[in-house]
Amino acid sequence: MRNKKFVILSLCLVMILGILSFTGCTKGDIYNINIDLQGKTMVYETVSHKALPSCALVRIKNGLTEYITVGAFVTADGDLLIDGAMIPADYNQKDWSIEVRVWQSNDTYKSYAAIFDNINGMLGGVIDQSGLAIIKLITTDKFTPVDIAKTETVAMGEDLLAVSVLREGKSAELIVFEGIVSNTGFGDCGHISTEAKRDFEYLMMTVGGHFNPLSAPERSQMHINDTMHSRPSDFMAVSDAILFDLNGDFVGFNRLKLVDIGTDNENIVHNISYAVKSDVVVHELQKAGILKGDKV
Amino acid sequence: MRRRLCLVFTLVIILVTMAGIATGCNLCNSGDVYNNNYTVENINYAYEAATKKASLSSVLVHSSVGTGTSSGSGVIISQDGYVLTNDHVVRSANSIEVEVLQADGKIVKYSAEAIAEKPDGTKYYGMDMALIKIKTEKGKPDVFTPAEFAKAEDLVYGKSGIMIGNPKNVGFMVSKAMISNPSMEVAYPKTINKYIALDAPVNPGNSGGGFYDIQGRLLGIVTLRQYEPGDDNKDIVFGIGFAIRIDDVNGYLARYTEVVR
Repeated sequence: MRNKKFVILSLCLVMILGILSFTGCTKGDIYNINIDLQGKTMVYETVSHKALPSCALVRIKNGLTEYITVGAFVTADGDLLIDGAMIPADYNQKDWSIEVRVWQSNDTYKSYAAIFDNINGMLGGVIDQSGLAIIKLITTDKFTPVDIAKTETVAMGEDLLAVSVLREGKSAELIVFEGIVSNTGFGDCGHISTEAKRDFEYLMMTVGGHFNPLSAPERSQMHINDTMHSRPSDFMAVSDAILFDLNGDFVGFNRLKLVDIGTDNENIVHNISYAVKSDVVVHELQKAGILKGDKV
Repeated sequence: MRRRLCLVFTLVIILVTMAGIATGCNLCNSGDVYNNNYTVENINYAYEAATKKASLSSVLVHSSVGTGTSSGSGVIISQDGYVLTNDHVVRSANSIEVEVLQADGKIVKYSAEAIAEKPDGTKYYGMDMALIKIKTEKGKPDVFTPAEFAKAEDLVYGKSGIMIGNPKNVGFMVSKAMISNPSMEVAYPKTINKYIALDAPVNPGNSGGGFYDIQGRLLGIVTLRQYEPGDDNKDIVFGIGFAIRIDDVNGYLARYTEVVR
């Protein structure tokens, strides 16, 4: 009799534990599922490993003059999306070289030469409106293009992973850091025309995070001025970073950050950057014939 | 006989189920991170739990140098009170004082001394590290909580953790920190060394403090930050710090096996 009770009690215990284990493992509503304490903190590690093979460090060089930036593969055939502001005004293949270092999953890099040229009739390879450009790697190797998310799925307050470059002395490396969608549009930056604001709302979203200025060609000032219309270029610095959501999908290309040019630290600006939306990138790449399909 | 069979059968079922539960939980924990979802409470508690553990091995360091003082941070690495910090925090110090945070939240002050040779950067493994020893009363040695060390393999892109230190000498402060690059070449102090690049708000005073993973294990020693030396605010740099890698910490401590137990 006592054994029977023991068996019944044990079976009940087993069933309860079984039910609990199944409940814990079920994946469903985003806010109602418990995971271990490390879950959130591990996600950036995983997203980094998905994002990094689709990104590359780009050196644009002419003698001692060198600009370093980050690019994202948009095709498997070596079409790399970079900030057009990083291409010097006097760029030509004879004087300037472009070296692209691609991250490999074992934490090593492979280097390739690349060219910036007229692509499908686009002026200087710069993608109309967005200020972005395509450079082409000279190789038959295949690459991992970014998975592109639709801008409409990006939400205010959404966590991002940013892939950028860091120069320290003579070395430069890809880096990753956390970002956040501060505003899915350009926000109210004032001092611009209604028309310009409408353009910016279409082109850009506002993001936060440790986006830092990159050294860029002089032309970039003009380029930014052109792109940003009446907004004074002095208040923007080039700050390139590829943005991914926590699914590891490409959501935007950060190009600019708001800065203060004064010497009074009281007005230092922190955490306001502007990224070209992924929908704009796709639209422009489709227009240029680099991407096919009707994703956007 | 039947009773025994029943008992054995029941025990086997329990064991099998427990194994299944353990496997199931492991799958949940280490499976496809893209599909994991989170509760706000868990996210916050992860950092809180890491802080609770790591703060017990964190110290504030105050050095008297000439007529002035300098402040930094440190990490307890042994129960008898050896503390790892940056060389530049205690270099040329006339006297050293440390503040230790206890589990009950009280802060206890101790005197400390630099051990062995005076650190000078080049002699000591080429990195900016120094070892100091907390002085305790003879016959009544306090027992300290040493940091648990992570492994070099844990240094990967995107790993999140915390940084504990004494920024701007305001006291114990914890900040979130993420590995931006696990192995970035920096020409510091005198030769090129590989550091962990951090996405973290490193300030003067964070030097010598610990960078810990979310399990509260030591990944590195926060040492320097990038800054823009010009007077033009447009180039100001935010949130880029560097920490000495845990494998370099181990390499440095290997020189002290006779004193550090």
